[in-house]
Amino acid sequence: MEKATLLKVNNLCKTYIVNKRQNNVLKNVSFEVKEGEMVAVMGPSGSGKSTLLYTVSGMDKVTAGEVIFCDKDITKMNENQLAELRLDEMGFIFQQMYMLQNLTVLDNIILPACQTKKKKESKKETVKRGEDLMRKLGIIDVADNDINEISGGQLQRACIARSLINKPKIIFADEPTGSLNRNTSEEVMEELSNINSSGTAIMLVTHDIKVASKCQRVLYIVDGNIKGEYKLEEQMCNASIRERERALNNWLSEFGW
Amino acid sequence: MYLQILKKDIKRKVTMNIILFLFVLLSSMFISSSVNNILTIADATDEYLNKAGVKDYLIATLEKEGSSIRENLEDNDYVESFNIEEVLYITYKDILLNGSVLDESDATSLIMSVNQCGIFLFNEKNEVIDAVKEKDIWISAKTMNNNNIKIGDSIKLLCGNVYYEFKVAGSFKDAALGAEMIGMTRYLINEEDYNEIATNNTDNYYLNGSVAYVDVKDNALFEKAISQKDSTIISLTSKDSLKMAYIMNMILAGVLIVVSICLILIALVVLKFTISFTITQEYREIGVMKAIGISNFKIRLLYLIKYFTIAIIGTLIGFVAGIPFGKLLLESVSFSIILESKGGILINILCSLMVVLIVVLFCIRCTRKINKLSPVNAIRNGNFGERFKKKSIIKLEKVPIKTTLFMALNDVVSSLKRYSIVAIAFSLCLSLQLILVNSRNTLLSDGLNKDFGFVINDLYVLDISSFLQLENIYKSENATETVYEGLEKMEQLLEENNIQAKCNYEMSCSITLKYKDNYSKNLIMQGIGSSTNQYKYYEGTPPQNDKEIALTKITANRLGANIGDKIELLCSDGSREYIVTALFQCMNNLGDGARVHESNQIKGNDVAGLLSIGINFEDEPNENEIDERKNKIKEIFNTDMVYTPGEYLDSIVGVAASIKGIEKIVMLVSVLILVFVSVLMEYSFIAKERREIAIMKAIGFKSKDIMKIHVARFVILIILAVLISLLLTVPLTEFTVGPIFNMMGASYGIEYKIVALEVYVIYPIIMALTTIISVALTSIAIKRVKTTEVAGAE
Repeated sequence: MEKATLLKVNNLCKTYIVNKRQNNVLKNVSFEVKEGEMVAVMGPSGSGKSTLLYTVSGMDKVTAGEVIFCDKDITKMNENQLAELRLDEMGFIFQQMYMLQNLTVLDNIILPACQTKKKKESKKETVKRGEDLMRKLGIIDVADNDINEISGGQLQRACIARSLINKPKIIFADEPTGSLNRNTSEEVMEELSNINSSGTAIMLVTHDIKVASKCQRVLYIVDGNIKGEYKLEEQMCNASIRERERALNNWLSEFGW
Repeated sequence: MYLQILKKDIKRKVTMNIILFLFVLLSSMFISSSVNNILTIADATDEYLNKAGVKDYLIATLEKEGSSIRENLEDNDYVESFNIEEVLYITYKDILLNGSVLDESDATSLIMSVNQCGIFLFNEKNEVIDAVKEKDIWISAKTMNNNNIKIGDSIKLLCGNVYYEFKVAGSFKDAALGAEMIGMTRYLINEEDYNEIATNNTDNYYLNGSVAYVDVKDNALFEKAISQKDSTIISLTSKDSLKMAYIMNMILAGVLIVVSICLILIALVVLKFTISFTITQEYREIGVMKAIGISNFKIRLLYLIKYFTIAIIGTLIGFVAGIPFGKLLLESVSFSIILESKGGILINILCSLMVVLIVVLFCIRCTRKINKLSPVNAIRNGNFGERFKKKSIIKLEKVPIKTTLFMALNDVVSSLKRYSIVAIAFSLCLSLQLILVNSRNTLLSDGLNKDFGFVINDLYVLDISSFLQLENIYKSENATETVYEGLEKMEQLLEENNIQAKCNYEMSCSITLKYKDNYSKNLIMQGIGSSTNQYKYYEGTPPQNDKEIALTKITANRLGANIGDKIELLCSDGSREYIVTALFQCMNNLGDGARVHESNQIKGNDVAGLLSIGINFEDEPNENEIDERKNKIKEIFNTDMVYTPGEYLDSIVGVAASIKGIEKIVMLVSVLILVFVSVLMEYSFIAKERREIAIMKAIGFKSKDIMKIHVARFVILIILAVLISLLLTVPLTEFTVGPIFNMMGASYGIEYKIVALEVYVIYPIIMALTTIISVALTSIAIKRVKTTEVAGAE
């Protein structure tokens, strides 16, 4: 059965003015993300990957085009509506594990749940959900620690837990493994795959073929244009992870990767 | 390359650099003007009295040309030198300003010729007045101010039966009689005009008199000798007492010193915060520079140059702005005394240089940490905000409050040191304001009348001459009876106007007290129509007959007498013996005084002063009715000088209005400080927390939620600061103002009046609202922080 479209981007343009010079970072970008899909965006440095992620997630304004999320054009939303959308429907994971310094790990995780007005649950239930998430991600032991008392891997998992606490429809991840070592990267990607398996869509930006090969689809972006799309899930459905990586590598090499 | 880095830094961190610049500017302005004011005020009274040539004693007598006092002084072995000025005494009833009686005046006014002046009198420009034009009159600054007299006004003086008209030509500062607490004032006229009045009134005993200024070898021996010999002296005032009479000016000066110290403290605390805060912001750059091999010394030098440049420019502007600011504060106390800036510009320059030095020293201290940091640690400290100290004190999961309030509370308790600056600044400003409010309310309180040696009446009438003719009392063989007769007439007139009231009169006599070998010329008070039991005593029991007396603690100490001792009163009709039965305090005469029983008989010769008639209504009316009757009594007696207890006290002490003036300045300064501190600190917090704000926005916080957190932090701090200030308000008022009341004669201390509405509601709310509105408006800048800044701050 065809999955419904969760995110639809039409002719998205983003232009920065730097020193009175126009810099067109995204040029008429169009694509879709289906419910429960895991999509990677790849491309060389400066190609517009992160800008694409920030604009489609409503964190940055678009210059032109449409971003339809759950049948609503988020480019027409005001700041408050966007904030509510980010709080209730979206999750974010950044390359640097940004968390609030004065809170414990658990408090950082449950903070969005305490802030939302959508879900009616007691604080006790929220804490329980936060702890369950931490347990699932293997970081329950550091629940009461300060964020400076835990490792990078634990911190990134805590960020994942935070992004999941309000049960979002989609998670946007900007280089989620960019500052992690190989083992920790694999663990984090494992978690993201598990989350995706449970039905949450993920759109991530990465340079790492290993990371991208775990996705169902890869978009390749160069100079603000999507140059190609590789449907890993369709073409390499039952392939091993190594085969997926190799195939993706071959596809990317066509673009001079 | 250094210059390039600096230029980039100043451009890139423009907000923080501007904040630091403003704080340096304010510090320089506050410190330079405040230090100058403290130095100026510290020994202002001594300087003023010396400059005017005031000698060890001021003696006022009623005798013509001072012939007797001259002989007395010439015969006195303890006199070093003296000069005598001839004066004419008149009362305020005999002075018409533009055709009307003066609103408020001192009991006794001296008219004198400019050529006879025994001390130097100074004009507004602080120049000595040595000439007065014909038909011109110069008036003491306090009288000008109290009666709202302007240059060019017409003044008519009634001497004998003739009015002499003059034009007000200016005001002067009078070191001897210019203090608010001195019950005399001086009018200065031309020699010829004076001679004309004096010649026409040669035989008028009650008009002619003299004032002597005397330098002595030994105060105690001189006082003893002069008190034994001369009975025509109205008042004998030592230079120390004159200095004490400036206590009210000094209250204002003291307030200025407290204001100045608070400003300096706030400036230093905020400056230190800003420098250490901005240096922490530089850690990332410091780390990068260390990583590429720039030496610690060069890195520190770079920041020293930057802060030195900001400090120089800030202090330069602060120095210029500090001069008018200091003058503005000084003006409130300098209208009636000479306040000459001691250090002048030099002090301002030195203070400004000190601010530069402090900035550089703070910078050296804060950058010392650079030596110890590895490049990676420096980068992390600057960029990731990593610490090695637990910060999360309270837990969201365990606190049943709203998330925004929790976040604010958590931020405050996690970085208490950082936020304490706001609480300290707020506490200082509020405490300062409350000290002034408490002082003003205490000085206007009904209860303080008892500490001034008065009985509390419903109303006081100052214009008493219709019933109590001064001349009749002076001539009377039994002054007490004459006063009683006057009071009876007054009660009758009130009854005719349907007001049932009992009247009383506070009579003061200038009599020498003797105990063993100790003498003291004192004001002896006697309530006529009131009972000694109605006054306040701190030890012993009130005098019950005409053989008993109560002494103030200060007089008792001076005489060496105590309760149970027998002392002598050297009255004009001979010596009388009294037993001391009680001790009390009296702030009306700087602590000196005694009180005799109402049945005591006093000869008119000994009567020294006329105070007021007290009215007590027999039907115990409420406040509104008293107010109505006050207006009616004004009509009956054709005078405006009818006062409630608080107003009466203020007419004597006359400082509440000045304190109110200072209150306004302090309020303005406090509000400005709070606006500056809260706006600049909120800006600092936003600049420092841009990434955290971006994270919160990214995870779904609305701008208004984050603004609420920022405002709530200040609200928490203000609540804390208000609680501290309110707890400390009484002890702080006692600590700061108590010594001044003690100097005024409150040997046993006084009861402070705390007006709850003002202290606990109005002022905290005004200041809290000022701060909260400032922070709320500043926090609008949070809206400009983009979620994409999550990847890099400022």
